[in-house]
Amino acid sequence: MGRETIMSIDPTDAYVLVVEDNVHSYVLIARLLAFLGIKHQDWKRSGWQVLEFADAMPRVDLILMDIHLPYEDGYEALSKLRAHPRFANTLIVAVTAEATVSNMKRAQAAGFNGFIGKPIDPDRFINHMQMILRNQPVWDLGIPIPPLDHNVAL
Amino acid sequence: MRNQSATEQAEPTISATTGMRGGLGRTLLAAFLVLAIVPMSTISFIAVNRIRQDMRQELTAKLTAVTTLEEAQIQQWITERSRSMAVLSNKPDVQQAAMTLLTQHPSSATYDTAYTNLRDSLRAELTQDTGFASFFLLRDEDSHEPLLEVMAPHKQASTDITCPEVSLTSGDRHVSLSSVAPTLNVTYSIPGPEGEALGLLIGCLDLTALDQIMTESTELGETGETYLVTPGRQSIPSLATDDDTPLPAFLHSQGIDAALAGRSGSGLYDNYAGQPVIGVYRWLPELQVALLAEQAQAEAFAPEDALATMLVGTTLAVALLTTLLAAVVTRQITRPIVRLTMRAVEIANGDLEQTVQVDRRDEIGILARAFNIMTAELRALYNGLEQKVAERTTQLREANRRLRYRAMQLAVSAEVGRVATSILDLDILLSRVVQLIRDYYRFAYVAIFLLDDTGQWAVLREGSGELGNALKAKGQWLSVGEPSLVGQVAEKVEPRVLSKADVQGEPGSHLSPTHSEAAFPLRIGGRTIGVLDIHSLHADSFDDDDVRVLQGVADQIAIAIENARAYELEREASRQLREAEEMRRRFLANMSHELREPLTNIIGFSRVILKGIDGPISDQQRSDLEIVYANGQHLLGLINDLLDVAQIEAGLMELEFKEVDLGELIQSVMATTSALVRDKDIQLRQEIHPELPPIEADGTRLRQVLLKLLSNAAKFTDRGSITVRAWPKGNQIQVAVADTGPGIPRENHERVFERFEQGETGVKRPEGIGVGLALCKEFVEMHGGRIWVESEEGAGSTFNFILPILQNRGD
Repeated sequence: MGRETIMSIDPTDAYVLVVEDNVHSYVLIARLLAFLGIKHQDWKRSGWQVLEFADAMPRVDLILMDIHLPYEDGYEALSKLRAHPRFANTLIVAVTAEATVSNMKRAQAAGFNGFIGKPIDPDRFINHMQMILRNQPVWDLGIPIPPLDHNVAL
Repeated sequence: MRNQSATEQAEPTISATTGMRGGLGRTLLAAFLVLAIVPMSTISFIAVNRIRQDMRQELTAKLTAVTTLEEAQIQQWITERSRSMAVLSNKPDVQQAAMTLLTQHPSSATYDTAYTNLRDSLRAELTQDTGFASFFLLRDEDSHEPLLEVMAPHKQASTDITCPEVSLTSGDRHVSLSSVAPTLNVTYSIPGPEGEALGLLIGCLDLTALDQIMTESTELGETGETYLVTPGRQSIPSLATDDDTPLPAFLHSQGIDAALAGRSGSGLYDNYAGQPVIGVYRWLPELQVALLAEQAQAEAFAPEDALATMLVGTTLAVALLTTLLAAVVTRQITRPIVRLTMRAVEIANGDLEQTVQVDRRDEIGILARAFNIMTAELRALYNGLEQKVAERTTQLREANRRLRYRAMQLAVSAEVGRVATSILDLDILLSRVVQLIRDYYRFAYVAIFLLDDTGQWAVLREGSGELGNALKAKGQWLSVGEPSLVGQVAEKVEPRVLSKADVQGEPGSHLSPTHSEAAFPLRIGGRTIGVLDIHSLHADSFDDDDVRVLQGVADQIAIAIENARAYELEREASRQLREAEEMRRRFLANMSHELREPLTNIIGFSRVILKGIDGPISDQQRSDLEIVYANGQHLLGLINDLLDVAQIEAGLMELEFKEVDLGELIQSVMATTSALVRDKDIQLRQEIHPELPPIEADGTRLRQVLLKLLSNAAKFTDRGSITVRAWPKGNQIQVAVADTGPGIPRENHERVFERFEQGETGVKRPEGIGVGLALCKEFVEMHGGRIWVESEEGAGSTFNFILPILQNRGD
């Protein structure tokens, strides 16, 4: 939905909103987005804040939304955002540490446009962002258990 | 019911008896009549018959006499004529003249003289004897020309006389009756000088004389007649019927036929005119004629008919008399019997008060008296029976009432049982139970006391009606062991009943109108948990049976209370359990988030720096940061494992089964693993069966298992090979991961799958086993599979697991 209007966005021209309650997690994402050349970034801590400041925002092309949020979870936030005319057709991608198949299915059913499992792997994340801005859907659980490096001693 | 059927049966009997009434009288009357009429009729019949026979004999005799007489008269008349003829023919002048006529020629002189002389002589004779009708002189019997013919003057005009057929067989005279036309001739031959017959002098008799003889016999009454019948069946004299109907040309009758056949006799037969007659017939051979004398039966038997009429009349009269007599006698006999019968019918109808009036001394009187005695005995018996029936009915009613009462008791027990099992809320349960007991038994007041926790007080928990509500609101506490019934029962643990006097005498009784009270302990295993208290408006409301049944109800209530309490406890426990579970789940979820969030940031940022996003870094910095990054990864792996274990332990782990291509999965994991053995002299091999079917499994967890087994193999193997094999085995698939590492001692084959096994035995073991293999075991078993290790120390290890191709959801 809405992808007909947003065919492909140049990262430098993209407006991305990050909804994340953990500051450090946001900073990590912000760093990676900046690395991609995305200058227009905004950060909100909850869905409620997004709606609160919706009218103040100049433009939103993509929302990266954590599922684990205070007050209300990502699914509730999504349904409220979708109810707002401003975000009815906006790309909204779930970013969550609870990366399971069932959650991904639930996100799909709820109306998310994509799914990225945490922890955020900088290499993959950059790829994912580029794909999304090219309007290619991303549904990735991430790597649940990274193989142990035998060289690492505990 | 018995009475009813008895009357039903009695109905036909009574109607039958009633129907018999009068039958006896009729039978007797009929018998009398038969007895009177049959013999009399028989005697009359015999007498009439006898008389008739006698009369017939008498008539026959009379008729025979008549015929004999007439025969004699005829004989005599003929004899007289024969004698006259003889005299005539022997007269000399007659002889002379006849001879002249026979011998001389008619032309001679003497002939005429002789003719005249003979004629005069014969004429004189005719005049003298009227018995002759005419005389003829014939030359011989074949001559048809008479020489002389002389008619009686009174006959001359009437008849033209033809010469009769004359048969001259012997003697000088012959008498015969012509067969066709009845004529009677007397013939004499005229002798010649030598005695030879010159001619015949024939005298025709006047048959009217015979008629006279015949009709003269008047002895035979009006219808009696005698007549002669010639063989040509002509009668002399000619006969006529009474009503002038023409007679047949030839006469026939039984008598005529018999007489013409030469028989003589008598009999009853129909005469020539068809009239029934009694007749006598005989054959007169000399005259060749039948003589019959007959008289009409009607006339002949007239006297006998009169006699018969008289006899029948007499018989009827006697019968009438007999009937009257019989009626009187029958009535005499049957009236008491009928009366007796009617009484019997009334008794049969149940009216035993009937007696029969006795005023006779004969057998009927005896019968009536016997009947009265029998009735009296029956009455006595019947009264006894009625009394017995009344007693039995009362007993039955009592039994019935008891049965109903018992049914009600059972119903209460059943209902209490039902309520006890269906209602778990104690307040509703007790309120329902007291209501039930009160309503079924119609008790005045039912209450349930429960002991408090100290066991010192019985507290009113539920009471029926307004009183119950009022007392409950006020709060009723009775001390265990106090003199009140409830206090006593609570202490003694056995039911007790107070009768009227006891209740009135009980101190402090606030239930003034009650007349009896019973209390039952609510027992659980010999200990009292409360008291069921019941008040009744009636004295002695509780018999032993009631006490037994109500104690049963009380036991049920006790169990129900216990159940309700247990249910309450269980519900509370389960609620707490649910709360604990929820807390644990929340804790785990939070834990997962709280632990991983900072760790992901550590990993993420170290990676960002390593990538040079934040600017160039020195080699030393890179090396250090790589250690941070790797340890972060390791820690994240451990935390994930721990969280998985915790989730499994909490029962929150749920697998998501879908179709998984195991071969593909193995290849993908092998690709990841290749990075781990990059710096070692290890060959990675896979032997996957070409027709490996897809299996139903949770791909994520299966990947975890394979990754764990492979990373372990990579970790512990320094050189050699790591081989992954997968092949179908029935409806399962077996996967084996074999390495050429140091192997695991046999005694540890089981323990490697236990949690936190590492270091427990004190043996220095490589790190990283931790919960990994335990988690593998959990995941495999959650798939319905099995995992085990085959290993020899120094000969490498092979970890095997088997998974079902299809998940059996029923398990």
